[in-house]
Amino acid sequence: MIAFVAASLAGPVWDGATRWEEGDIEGAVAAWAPAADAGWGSARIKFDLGNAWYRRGDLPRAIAYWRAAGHLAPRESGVSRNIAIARSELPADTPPPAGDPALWMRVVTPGELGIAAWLLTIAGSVGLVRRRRLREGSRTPWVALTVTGLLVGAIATRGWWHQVQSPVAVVIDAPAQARSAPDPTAAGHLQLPPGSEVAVVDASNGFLLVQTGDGERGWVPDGAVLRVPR
Amino acid sequence: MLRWLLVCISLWVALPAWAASVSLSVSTSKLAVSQATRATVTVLGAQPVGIPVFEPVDGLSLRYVTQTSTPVSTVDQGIVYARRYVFEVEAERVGTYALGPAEVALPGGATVASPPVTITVTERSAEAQDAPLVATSRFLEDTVWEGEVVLYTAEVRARKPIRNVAWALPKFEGLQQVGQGEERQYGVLDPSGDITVNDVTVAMLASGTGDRTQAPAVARVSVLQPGGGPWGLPQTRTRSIAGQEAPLTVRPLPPPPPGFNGLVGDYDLRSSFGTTEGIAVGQSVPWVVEIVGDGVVDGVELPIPELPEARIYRDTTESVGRLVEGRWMARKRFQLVLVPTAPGTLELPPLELVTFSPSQGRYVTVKAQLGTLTVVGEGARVDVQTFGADGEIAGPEPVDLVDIYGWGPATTPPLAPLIPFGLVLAVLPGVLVLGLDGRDGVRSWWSSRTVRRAVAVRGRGRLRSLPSEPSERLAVLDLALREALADHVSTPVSQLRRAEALDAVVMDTRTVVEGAFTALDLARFAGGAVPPDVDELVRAAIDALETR
Repeated sequence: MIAFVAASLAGPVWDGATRWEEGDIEGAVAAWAPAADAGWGSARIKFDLGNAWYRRGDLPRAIAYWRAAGHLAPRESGVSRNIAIARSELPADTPPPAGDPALWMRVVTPGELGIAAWLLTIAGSVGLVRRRRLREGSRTPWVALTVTGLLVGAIATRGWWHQVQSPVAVVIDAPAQARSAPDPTAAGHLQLPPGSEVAVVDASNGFLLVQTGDGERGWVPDGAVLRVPR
Repeated sequence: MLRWLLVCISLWVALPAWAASVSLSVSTSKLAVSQATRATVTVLGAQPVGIPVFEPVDGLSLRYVTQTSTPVSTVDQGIVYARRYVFEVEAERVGTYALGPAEVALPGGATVASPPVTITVTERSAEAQDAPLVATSRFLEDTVWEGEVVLYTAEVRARKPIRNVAWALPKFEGLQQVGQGEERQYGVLDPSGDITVNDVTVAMLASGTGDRTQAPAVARVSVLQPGGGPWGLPQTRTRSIAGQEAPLTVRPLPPPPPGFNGLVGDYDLRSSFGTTEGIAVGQSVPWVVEIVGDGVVDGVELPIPELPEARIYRDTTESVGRLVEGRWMARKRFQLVLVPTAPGTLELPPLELVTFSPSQGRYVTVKAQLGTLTVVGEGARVDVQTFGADGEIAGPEPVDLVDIYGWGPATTPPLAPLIPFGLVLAVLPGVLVLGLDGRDGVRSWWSSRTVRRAVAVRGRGRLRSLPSEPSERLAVLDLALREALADHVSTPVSQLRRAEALDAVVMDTRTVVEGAFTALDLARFAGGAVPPDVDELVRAAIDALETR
């Protein structure tokens, strides 16, 4: 606990917050971005980085980092609030966001649900071992507990796998032309303004097949979007 | 004139676009001496410094109560914070008073003020003799113009606690309802007993001219009875009460001038370009034009100017209208795209709309100055010299983001990928135990099956293979006979008492069985010779027992 507190007070979150309080938004981004993009970035640092991008006027990146924070901390009401504010400032022709998580993932993360499943399963296993050792009681409740834990674990694993297999990306910097094939010469049929939140369905030849919230699909260059960091 | 005045929202008409607005409203504008009601100062789009300040009013006493702050969706400013400061206004003397303006200090030293509201205070005696339940219904204006939006309000005041007020409004012939109505319930503090007020307001478009007097509105009210009902549950009595006829005269519009597009109301025309940093030839410049006012805007079309050096394309339109703080407000937004076709200074003519203003009683032309845009060759980028209407536009106060975290871990190890491995480890002991239990079960079943097979050889079955050694042979015969007797009397062999068992056997069988036992006993325990037919005796006895 002491190590956690010490790391929390001396880490990038603290550094960036200090610069933020001084009005140095660029410095805050410089402090937060490396840790947020390192792969194991916490919900807090991604949330803070979203705020920084918002203050810099970059709504797409703000939305991307807030959505990343929402994956890690779905019960944080501030995340959904800030996303709603940013979305309200997007152009009216922005398609509806794609890749909204399943209902249960708006309450718990797959990791948290996995821990609950693990605890249920281990409780069932320990109960079975204890029952065998003491030769008393019924095994049915312990088997039921174990099976419940495994089912919950399967749901958690499926949710995590879905996040991995169907990432969300946000169109950044400039409108992206969605084309009918992963080829720069293919016909474009859909214009995605910056801030469009799309689900990444496939990748090929430096292009991503993306799908908007209203079901429209098209290939956009990989560099036109920012994948929601995990 | 108004039952409850909500005057000051009009700043959104008077002030530049997106500036802060302050409004003052009172729950009711009619009070008796010693009665009190609430006055609310609402500040939209700005963070005030301190609480609003009123000029003292001789005849009213004012007391600050509380403040709240909530994000609200406004018609013209989007989502902004509404900060409400609540005061209690108590009537001290008879008269008509102007409460306000309420002055609000803003950061930077600026001050904004609301228009005042009028409060009428009557003698207490008349108010005190009011019936316990009174309903009123009327239009807020007696005379309106054709095409104008007029508000109709119905109100019930009760000196008893009421609930579930259901209104039956008139049919409104010659009028059309626009938007959703608004219903609210509030209290008036009175020394003789507080008054509960429920009112409903609807916005109506005057579509027919002439006398449009409407029938009274009727309220169906559940009045809580004193003492309650059985089991302590509240008991109510339903009463119906009618208001008054609502007089209304709709005047026809004067002959319209050229270009009149049917807009009746006080309107504001706003324009803004989305791109502010450099415009090049061929670049698409988003352009938003808004018509905001207190009339109906659904069907209005925007006259688009034709420019030789630019093309203008219509994109989408969106219209919205609703009652906001007791006033009808509507907005229609046109999204356009302007594409310059030649470099140079693009002179944009003002946008003009001919409307009929009910407040002025004449046709007026509403304008939005568009200014000029500097367009350069394709690919170059320069600053826009001017844009929009009426000079610099103050940006709206942004809705506050949820602030950053000041501390916390920068990294979080991902747990989800470990779920399958963790589950396997967790379930392993249980599976192992279940496997062992299963193995034990199989073993137990197998051994019990073997025992059952062994036990199944009894009675007559033992006679199928008798030992050759005499004493063993006699013992097996004795055991077979005892088992047959035990089965006959339904007693376990270990608990068999021969004499008692034989008493339970019928005489013929008993004689045969006793003979067999006697022969066996003599041979086994008395040293007698083994009868040669002992096998037959025992077999006959067992047959007799099993036959019976």
